Amino acid sequence: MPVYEFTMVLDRDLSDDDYDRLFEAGLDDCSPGSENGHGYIAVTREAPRLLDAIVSAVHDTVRAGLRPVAIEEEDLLTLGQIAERSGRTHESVRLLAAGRRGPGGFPAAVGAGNASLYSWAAVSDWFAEKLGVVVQPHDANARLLAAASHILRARALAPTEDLALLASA
Amino acid sequence: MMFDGGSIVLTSVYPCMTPTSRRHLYVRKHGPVFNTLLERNLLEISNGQVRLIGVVSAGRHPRNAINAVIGELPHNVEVVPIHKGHRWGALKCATCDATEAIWSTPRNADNHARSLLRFVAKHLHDEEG
Ligand SMILES: [Zn+2]
Repeated sequence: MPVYEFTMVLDRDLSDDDYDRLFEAGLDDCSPGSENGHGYIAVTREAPRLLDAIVSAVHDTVRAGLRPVAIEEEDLLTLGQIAERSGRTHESVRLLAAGRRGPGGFPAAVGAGNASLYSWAAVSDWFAEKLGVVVQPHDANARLLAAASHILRARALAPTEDLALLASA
Repeated sequence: MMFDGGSIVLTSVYPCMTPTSRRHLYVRKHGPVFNTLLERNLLEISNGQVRLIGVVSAGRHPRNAINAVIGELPHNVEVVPIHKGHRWGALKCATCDATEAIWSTPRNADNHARSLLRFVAKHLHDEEG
């Protein structure tokens, strides 16, 4: 099953007890944290589809007594994930990154070996600049994440019944 | 006491535990030691047996993938030991005060390690333009 990664921004900061509640609500596959006074959950979830990963992660979070108010796409990716997004083989991307194929100057990674992470923003710029390949940044999964984020923001603004009416108008 | 990784079946523990009663675990011979292990989430209870799932030493996480990340941190990111509930510790950025939990028993250590590495990458404040 594929692993989907994204970050949920929460409505408030996390208390000591929140961490254990999140773990026990089933988010032991995720990494919660706090940044600028806001809680967040870095989700790494195995699921049949991205939609299932989002719905179950939001559900688990609500069960733990917190509310996700936005979803952010993950910018830092492994070479495997870059291969998937750019429609190349893992080996081809690995050779590009190592400078053993192509024009060199591939954006630098954080971490080493299989754990290396690359900024997708930097890598897709490199593809455009050095290879003349425009990688479609807004694939179906990115659009679904954006839609989910809009819905979570809307839920923080208006009652569910009103949103249902608006959605079916 | 040091056990270097792996899992050891501890048969001297009463076979009466369920996950909900783990906090009330009664150990006749090694009570204080085992309670400390339990608090640090270094013991796993299943099928009425207790297994040691971690290395009992400060600063070393029971899972290697996580040690690989926390073993090489930039100067502004530190590991804060917590050993409370499900948190083994946290990563903390000294520049902006952000933190991220390090679970004692993440469902998947490689995925958790990748999240922690992302935290490190996002907090390389010095190298941002
Ligand atoms: Zn920071």
